[in-house]
This record gives sequence, structure tokens and C-alpha cells, in this order.
Amino acid sequence: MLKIYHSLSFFFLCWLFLVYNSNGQSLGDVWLSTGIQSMSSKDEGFSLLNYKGNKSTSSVGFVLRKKNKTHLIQGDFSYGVLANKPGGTMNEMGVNLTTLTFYHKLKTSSKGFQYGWANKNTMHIRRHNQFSNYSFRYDYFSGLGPVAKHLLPFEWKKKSFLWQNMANWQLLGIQVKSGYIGAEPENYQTDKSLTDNFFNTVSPFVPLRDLDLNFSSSLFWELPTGNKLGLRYQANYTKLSGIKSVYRLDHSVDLILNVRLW
Amino acid sequence: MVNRINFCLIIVLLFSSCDAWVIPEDPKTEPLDIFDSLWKDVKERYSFFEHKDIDWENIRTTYRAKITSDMGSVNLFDVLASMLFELRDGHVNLSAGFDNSRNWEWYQDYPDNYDQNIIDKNYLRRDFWISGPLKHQFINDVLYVNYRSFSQKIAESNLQVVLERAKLGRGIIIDVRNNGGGSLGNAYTLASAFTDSEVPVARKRIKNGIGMDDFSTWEEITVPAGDNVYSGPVIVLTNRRSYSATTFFAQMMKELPQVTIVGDQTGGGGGIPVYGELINGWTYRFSGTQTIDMEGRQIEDGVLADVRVDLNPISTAKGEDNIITTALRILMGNN
Repeated sequence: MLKIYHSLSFFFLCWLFLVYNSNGQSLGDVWLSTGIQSMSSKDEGFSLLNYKGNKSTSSVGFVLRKKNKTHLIQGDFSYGVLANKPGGTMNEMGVNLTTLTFYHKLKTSSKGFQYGWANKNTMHIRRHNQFSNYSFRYDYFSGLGPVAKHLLPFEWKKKSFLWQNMANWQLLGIQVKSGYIGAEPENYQTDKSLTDNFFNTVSPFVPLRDLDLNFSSSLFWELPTGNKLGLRYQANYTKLSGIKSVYRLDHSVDLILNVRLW
Repeated sequence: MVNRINFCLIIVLLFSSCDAWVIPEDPKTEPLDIFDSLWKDVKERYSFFEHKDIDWENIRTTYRAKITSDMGSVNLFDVLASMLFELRDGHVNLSAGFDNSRNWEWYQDYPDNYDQNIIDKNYLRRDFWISGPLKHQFINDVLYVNYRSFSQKIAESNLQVVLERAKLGRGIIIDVRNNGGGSLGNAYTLASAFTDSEVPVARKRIKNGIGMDDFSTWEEITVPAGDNVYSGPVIVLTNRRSYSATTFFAQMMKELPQVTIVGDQTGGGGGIPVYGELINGWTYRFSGTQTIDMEGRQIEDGVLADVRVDLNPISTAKGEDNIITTALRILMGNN
């Protein structure tokens, strides 16, 4: 399985390289990051108590900079154990896949403000360690919203640095999450097909009632080769409303290795 | 440039210090708040108020008056435990570390109908087989199987040993008296050993809203078809201490044509428990679902025996379990 995953990743990167390297005006970067995430979470379907704790987090991303726009695709994974004040614990795992597009026609792509849109797909799974039944719950949403970033290149002691701040807000989308009791979403019926159940259980991600806000601030040291080493702080707030609402706030600090592909 | 850096730093600081603003706070820790938190959760998720004709609002009035701000943990526990006792449900517990509240009236006021010493001495005897959690012994060409807890996992290999052995005899008796339940998965595993086709056995629904009548639609429970099944006559022995997963097992078996339930009805436990926790660290559970048999009867009230028989004191004095004797007589009559 791991071999297939590695082969697919390799062919994907080769494809990207061939397609975009033919365009002499594009720049392609790939980055890997790993770090620690502090999370506060409340799932009213489990408990009225807040759960907090540290998770390990890692991400991989690809950036394609063209003359007029920049595409970015990023996958994140995080896992850890959260605890409430009295000591109850739950295992929490999160997966994100985010695509972002920034437009910078007539501007340089390497500094100043840039705007665009982002699509974010997020799934979180949690298992309560003190409950024998209905101990598993999850939520998934796919949202679309605006994104903005600010790039501030500067030099210090004859070395090049880049400070990048980015924020995005998921406004519209869909969500599926565990229902009143247990893992199954509301209106889920075991005798229905997967497709029927998807349409039965999906609900809209409504602006302001449901929220997903993300902010990140990264400081990169730009090496002469075009590669970068960076330190990123990232915060994310999610609120998925419903008969049992879910709240989540996390702060991450990551080390980033950015490699210039072409 | 300095202004921009300051602006960005302010944004970073804002994000990193806003937990308390955006995540709702924990409930308060005063005794009255703890009482209200528990009462409200039970009100919104407990599944048998209507079936048991329980006035939860009235119960709140009665027990809330006993809460004082300076009461200690033990006194608070006693009040909460007494309130939960009113639900008359063996699946309701409050766990506080120093004690675990419960209501065991589902068996305490009824005949025991099981004597482990008699079983060990006169039925299993010394040379019984042990296949995982299943103890089995032939009694007059009938395989007697004793299963003490559905928490003990039944491996397919263990089950096949029992089934192959049963095929050598004239029937099988499965004794789940005093079996207080455990994992429903084991109930499905054991029941599927007696059917080669999928059989609908019950229907269940789950609370899905805060209203007393807010439930999902009824969903069928089926026993899956087993491999290499036993198709001969089967007797299942139950008593009032057959509870929870054992009640589900009895209901599964009751729907199979070659099965007879003998003994007393089961104790119930037809609501699958949901869990919760209080700000002081105590945890609790209560029924969050309903299950009915194919005639619409709540199995929370127990699964009725097809042949109702109690242990006879005269028989037990002689070392005889007359419920097993009845089962043997039924099986002999079938052959």
C-alpha cells in the first residue's frame, strides 16, 4: 500500500514538473512541515466540557506561481489526545485538504497584498476513552471562501527573509456530522445506499452560523538556491452549528522546509 | 514597514489569546449547576420517559429542593443517585470514584432461578469442556452450554467446537441465566450459529432531539446468517438476571423457529446506554434508545419465556435444577 502511495506521489510530481516546466514563466515549490498543535475542542454530542491538549501535526504542500496567479494545494494531518478538566480523555484526529488561488495580475507575485479564494475540506474524528457506547463521532465540511495574504520580503544581516501572513474564511459549503447521539449523522438510515444517505445527511455550511477561519504567519529564510526554511504559526477556528454543535480552536507552530522544484 | 509588522503581530496575538471568547465555557461547579446539568441531559436524551410514565419535571422539583450550596460531594452524590433511581433502569449509573449508583430492582424482587453450585457439581461436573468463554457438557445426549457473560468474546473457532459437538447429540441447551450482558457483538455471533439465513428479530430507534418524542425512524435489527450452523432443537434458559445484551440475545433466539425460551423472563435492558460527564469528573450513563420485538413490545420490559418455570426448592434441595429438567423434557419430546 505504501509503495502505491509513494509511486502515485512520484508520478504526480513528475506530471506537475513536465506540465508546468514547459511554461518558462512558472515557479514550482513543494514544502513539508511538522510541528505541534494546541487544540481546544467541544462537541456537545459528547460532553458539555471543553477538551484541550497538544497534537502532533504535519503537512505537505505544493505551490505553483504563474505570471498572473498563484495556486497552492496543502494537506494537513494532526493527531493527539485531548483532556477535560476532570481528566476525561478523547483521541482526536484531523485531516485537511485545502486549495488556494491568489490573483496578482500586473503585480509582482513576491510582495504586497494578494487576494483570491480557497476551498477547504476538513474531517475530524474523535473517540471518547471513557464511554463504552457511542464513543465515536466525526464531522466533515467542504467550504469555499475568500483568502488574502501579505508578503513582506526584507533583508537582515545580508540574508533574505520573507514574512508571509495569510487569512481565509470559509463562507459557503456543505457539512456532514455526527447526529444527536452516536456517530451516525441525523437522518442516516442503514438500509439506504451511500448516495441516498449522503443526500439525506448533508446540510449546508451557512455563513456566520457556521464558521471556519484560518490565519497563519510564516517567517522564511530564503537560501541562495531558492529553497526556504521557515517557522509558521497557524490558528484555526471552526464552529459547526446544529442540534449538537461542534467548536474547535487550534494553534500550531511548524517548522517548514520549502524546496524549489523549478 | 514597522507599522505593518506591528499590525501583523497584533493579529497573531489576537488569534493566540482568543480561546475563551470563541469556545463556550465549561458549566459551573456549584452543586445546583451540577444538578441542573445532569437533569437537563437526562431530560433531553433519556428514551423511556413516556414508556415508563415518568414525570421528570416533578422529579426535578422534588430533588432540586434538596440541593444546597454548601453540601459535600457524598451528599450531592446521594441526591443525584436518588433522582436517577427514579428512572427504574438498570442501564442508569452515576460513577463518582467513591461509589457507583445503580437500580437493580429488575432482578432483586424476583426468584433467583439459578444455583451455580448445583450447575458446577451436578451438570458441568468435573470433565466439562471449556471452549473460550463457553463451558459445555453432555447431559443425556443433549449438549448443555453455560455462558456467564457476553463481555467474554466468543471466537469463531470456539463456537465451531461447540456446534460440532452439539451435532453429535439430540439438542442443545444454552444457559444464559445470571448473564448480565456485555457486548452485543457476541450476542450476534452466538445467535447467528443457529440460522443459515438473515432473520429480522427486532426494531430499534434512537433519541434524535430534545423533545420527549424525538426519535429516529424504527430500524430493523437482523441476525446475520452463520456458517456451518446448528439446525437442531435449541433451548435457551433465562432468568431475571439475564440483562442487557443477554435480553437482546434472548430476543434474537426467540425469533428462530427451532428455539424455545425456558425459565423466567429476562430482566430487560433494551435501551443502549449513552454516556455523559459532569464538571466535577463524575460520569453517568442512561438509556438512549428503544428496542421493540416484532410484535411491538418493548424489550426494556424483558423477553418473556415460552415455557415459564421457576426453580423448585424441593428439587434444588436434592441437587436438581428443575429448569434444566424441563428443558431436557422438551428436547426429548422433540426427538
